[in-house]
Amino acid sequence: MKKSPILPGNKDASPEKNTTDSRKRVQSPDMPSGAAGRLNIRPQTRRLTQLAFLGTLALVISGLEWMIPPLPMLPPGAKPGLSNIVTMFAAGSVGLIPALVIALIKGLFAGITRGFTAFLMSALGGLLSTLVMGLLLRCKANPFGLVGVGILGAVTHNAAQLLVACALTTPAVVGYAPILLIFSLITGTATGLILRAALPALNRLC
Amino acid sequence: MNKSKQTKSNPAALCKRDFLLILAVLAVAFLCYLLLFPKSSPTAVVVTQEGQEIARIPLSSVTSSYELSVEGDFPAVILVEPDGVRVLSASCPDKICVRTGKLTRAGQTAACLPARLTVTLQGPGSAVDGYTG
Repeated sequence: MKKSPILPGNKDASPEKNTTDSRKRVQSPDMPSGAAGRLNIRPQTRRLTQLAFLGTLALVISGLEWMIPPLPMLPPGAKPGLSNIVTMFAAGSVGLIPALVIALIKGLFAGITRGFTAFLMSALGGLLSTLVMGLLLRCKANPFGLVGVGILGAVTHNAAQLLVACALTTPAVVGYAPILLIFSLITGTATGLILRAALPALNRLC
Repeated sequence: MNKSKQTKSNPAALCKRDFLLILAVLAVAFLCYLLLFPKSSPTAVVVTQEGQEIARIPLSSVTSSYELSVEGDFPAVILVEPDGVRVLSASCPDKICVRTGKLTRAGQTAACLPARLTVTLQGPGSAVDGYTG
């Protein structure tokens, strides 16, 4: 099993969820706590549902971001990257491996809809930033709050994408670095604050 | 394992170190900006495709605007003007290079990743002067 999650546990899980589930089982000692545990859902089923739910959430958020018209003052091609909220939550509360799987799902979706370069950019940025956020959240001596972790995740995401862009084109694209760093500050802060606000709801659902 | 999940304290949304981190990132961004964008007027337009330089146009030789077509998987049209350059149209799906708008300062780049195409304005002593791709 995974190390103990760093984000708060789900104490107030709603028991009325999933009442249609007929497969009641005897609770095993290693059954995870929380809503699913109390409903006696098999751990594998719980993990699968969790992953499917969080993966869908991440895809919906990135999909919605693509519908936002490009704003002139933003660096071209930059997205708020708010689906990082989901990978950050997964990395902190579910597990590093599921979080990386979600990042990969995001990358594959970008690849299906926007081609191979989009897959490379999204997958590499997502995997690295998830890794950084997960390791920070799981480290006992994590010096940062959620906002700091979000910013470091966003910076990692953008740095990885800039490196991919450098490899695909020429090193001249590092000219985007300053504006991407400033943009990472804004989106990283937003990620941290939104995750803090959404944490109780996400914990109830997972 | 179950117990630790319940007793873990809530992480703070913001702490003092987060502000230090924000300041550090701002400082790095400012340093990058100083390094990458020298205060000099651009001297040449450099177009690269798939890492290879395909055109280098000294801006001093540009007296009137003209269009430059780039072939490839995603053909694009670049508008070279005496004071800058812009990607006029591109056949790639996301059009990021077109939305970048007109480049007027040394160090600025418009990049199209699907076409692996970049348009860069170079200054006299540009930090990205001697790249090989």
